[in-house]
Amino acid sequence: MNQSRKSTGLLVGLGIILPLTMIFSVGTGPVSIPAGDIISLLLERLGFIHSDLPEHTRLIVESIRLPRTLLGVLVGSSLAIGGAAMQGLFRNPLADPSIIGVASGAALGAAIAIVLGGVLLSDFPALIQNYSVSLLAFIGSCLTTLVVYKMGTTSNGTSVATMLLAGVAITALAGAGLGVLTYISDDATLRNLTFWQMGSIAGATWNSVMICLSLLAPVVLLLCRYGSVLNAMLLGESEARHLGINVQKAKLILILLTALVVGVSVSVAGVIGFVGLVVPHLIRLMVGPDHRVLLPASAMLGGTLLLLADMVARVIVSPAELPIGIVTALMGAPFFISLLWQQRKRIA
Amino acid sequence: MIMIAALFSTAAQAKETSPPRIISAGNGITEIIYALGAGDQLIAVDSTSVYPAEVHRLPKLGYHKQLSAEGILAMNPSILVGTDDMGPPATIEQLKGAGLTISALPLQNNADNIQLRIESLAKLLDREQEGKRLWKSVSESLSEARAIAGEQKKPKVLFMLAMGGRTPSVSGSDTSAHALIELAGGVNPAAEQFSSYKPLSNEALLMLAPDVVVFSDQGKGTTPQQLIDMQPILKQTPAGKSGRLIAIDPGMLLGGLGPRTGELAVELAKAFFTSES
Repeated sequence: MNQSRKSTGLLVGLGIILPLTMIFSVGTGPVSIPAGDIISLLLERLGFIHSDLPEHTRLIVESIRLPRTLLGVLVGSSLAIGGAAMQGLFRNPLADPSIIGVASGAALGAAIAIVLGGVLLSDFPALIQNYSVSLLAFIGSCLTTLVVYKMGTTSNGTSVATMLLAGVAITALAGAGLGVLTYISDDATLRNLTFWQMGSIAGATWNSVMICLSLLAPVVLLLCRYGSVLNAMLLGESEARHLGINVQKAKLILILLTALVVGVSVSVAGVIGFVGLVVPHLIRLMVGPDHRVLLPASAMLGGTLLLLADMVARVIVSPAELPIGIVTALMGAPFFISLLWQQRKRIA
Repeated sequence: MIMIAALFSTAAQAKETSPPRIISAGNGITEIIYALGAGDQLIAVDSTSVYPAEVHRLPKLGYHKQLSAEGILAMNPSILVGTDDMGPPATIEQLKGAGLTISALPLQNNADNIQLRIESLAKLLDREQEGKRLWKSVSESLSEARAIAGEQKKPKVLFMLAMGGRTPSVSGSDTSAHALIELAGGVNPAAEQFSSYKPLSNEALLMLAPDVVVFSDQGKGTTPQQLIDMQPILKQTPAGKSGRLIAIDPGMLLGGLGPRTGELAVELAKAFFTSES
């Protein structure tokens, strides 16, 4: 009983913190904008009041920070929920979304676009050229996931252990491909490649936000419904079957949905590590391993943490900007280590 | 929708009248702005802008391909000047959407491009007289370099970039170093083999047999002896045997050719066409 009250409290708390963080995120940056201005701007957009804010403020909020904030929430919650789903499916707390080869495939796709894009895509329409990195990253993540899934699947069903090994192998292969591309690229391209691998949500435009919103939001919500299934799978696959769950179908759907959210996230924001691994752990430490709570809570906390990291990335070296992947690792890792230290008796 | 609204809005920022507040993203561009005497109008530069020394007093915006839209807008600039390389594209789009004047100058490695960039910038900054004078002095130096070379046999010259510890990279075609070698009357044998920079194997280096090696590092003051230590086979090339290894200032080639290229070409031409060749 106490447990369920704790869970409800956590979900409500995160539900309050996330929108507050979003408002805070829209207000934070090299140009400081008071929260009052942001709220009145939003109210004005919704047609309630008429404000006379300077055009400058309006532009920064509407064309830069608002899309960036929305993208941050979408990407953060996708990575975190993907991590929670994979840790549940593999029954392994070390699993993260990249375990099924999504991240390495995306990185390889993006690298092909960055290094060879000028040569390969010169005959394609401009639209495809502009989004070539995102497109190829997404295609790469889908292909690698498919290969990993196929390798793990026989007529008897999908073996999670084989998939884990296949994921390692595919990641190594993609790494070799990246190595070749790194070797043949010149200095400027190399730098682009490196930056892409550190992740950034600075390039958010309304277009990319709309694409992500339509792809990610429904899938994240859909994933939230798999809490009971994952709870049953934690007991073991045959036990889950006895509980009347179609395990094979559940596995396929979970892998597909995770590949989709993570693939889309990586293709718009590059590689942002740590969120998918750590966020589900934090939630588990707070309320235990019930996936019905873990999945939605991970999504909300992931969105919140990514926004916080992005705020740091924006202001710490202003007027320049840090890639967000550096921030998530720099902030996340020490925090996580200290948490492990305090909780090490409980975890074991 | 909102983006469209932003595009059609009237002049976004109240433009400050005089003097313009310039942000420069590109080392070559920054150098020309200073050479035109407009350095005091710069309010920020990218991290590749390292010349002249007073540039280090200004805030740095990070790498010129990794600019932050907000960081730039927060400085309240009246214009952003850079090269075609400026990026990422999304940032440039955002800045345009915010009504900032952006000027991206093409960057190619030839003498005409120096003239083009000097004249475009002079026009942009309303300093056309200074621009004319600057290009005149550069082109006079370039003619002087050609005169030194005259009709003599062109020496084979390699440019090597020492990156600390590893095998130095050699400049192929499409590099400012390659253009510089040609302006100084040399010929770059590596240009037929590859473009941009590549570290060469010992055998390839022997095959190319440079008469002169021009080299540079990242400001660590590498000596000719240290360069030979990095790739000992250099000793066996004509350049190594006659000891014709010439160090140049690393800032000279970063961000394309620029106002100092003329003087450097004269200096190198003198070195290429000494009694040796």
